[in-house]
Amino acid sequence: MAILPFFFQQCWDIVASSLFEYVNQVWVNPYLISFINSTLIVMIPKIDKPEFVSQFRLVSLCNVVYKILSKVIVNRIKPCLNSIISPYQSSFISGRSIHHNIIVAQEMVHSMASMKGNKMFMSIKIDLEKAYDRLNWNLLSNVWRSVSFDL
Amino acid sequence: MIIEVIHHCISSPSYKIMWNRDKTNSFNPSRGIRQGYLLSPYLSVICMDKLSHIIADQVEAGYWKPMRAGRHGPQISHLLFADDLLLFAEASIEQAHCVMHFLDLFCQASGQKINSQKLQIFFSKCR
Repeated sequence: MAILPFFFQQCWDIVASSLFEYVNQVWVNPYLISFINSTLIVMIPKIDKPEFVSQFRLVSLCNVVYKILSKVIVNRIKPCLNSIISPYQSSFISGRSIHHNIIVAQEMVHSMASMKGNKMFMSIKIDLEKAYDRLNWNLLSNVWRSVSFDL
Repeated sequence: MIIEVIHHCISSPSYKIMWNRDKTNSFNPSRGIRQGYLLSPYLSVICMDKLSHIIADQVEAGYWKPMRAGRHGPQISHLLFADDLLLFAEASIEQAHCVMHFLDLFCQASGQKINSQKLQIFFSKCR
């Protein structure tokens, strides 16, 4: 049974306190997350008449309560990201723009074209296949544990 | 604490697939993060940061020979655009092996796979 965000907005006076309590509880007992963490995956075809699973885009529809909880987490980690993520990454970090890296890339290609000297260089463009779906959780938690958050 | 919470967020979901207006039985994933979920972009950026670390270590150790942006410019070995990457290195067989080796290492650790059909290489002008 899906409860739409509209429900929360309309009945905010009634549901607010229990929602606050739930989100607070999660920080004490993270196991509570599994109760709201059921996700509906919808397959949206990328092309007309798809034949393979890879021709669908899988979009996850999460629980509203879960989204609210995630937003809390995102707001807490966002300010820390700038200091832990390498400067060569340009996406998803507030204060950085993908355009910066595009300009650097353009500059690099330009200097490759007008290069003089003995050394030759190469640039390799790589696309990762289904990057989200393949991601290994162990690596994630290892990386998480190796960074120190100031929270 | 926040790490525990995030860990539970990514490892506890159960999925149902909506298919022809019907739902499948629910199942639990063992890897991957969800498209359309608030935290996912940040998680993928953190995962890619691992690769950034690997490359930076190799550059520092002198195995990976990065390119300079201009004659006196800074050395740049890689640029990341979310999960797309642009790598720069000297054009030599050894460097190609080096790049491949560390990409393999990263792919093994992260579960990622390089899409070889979309891979492109550019070379600097030959004298």
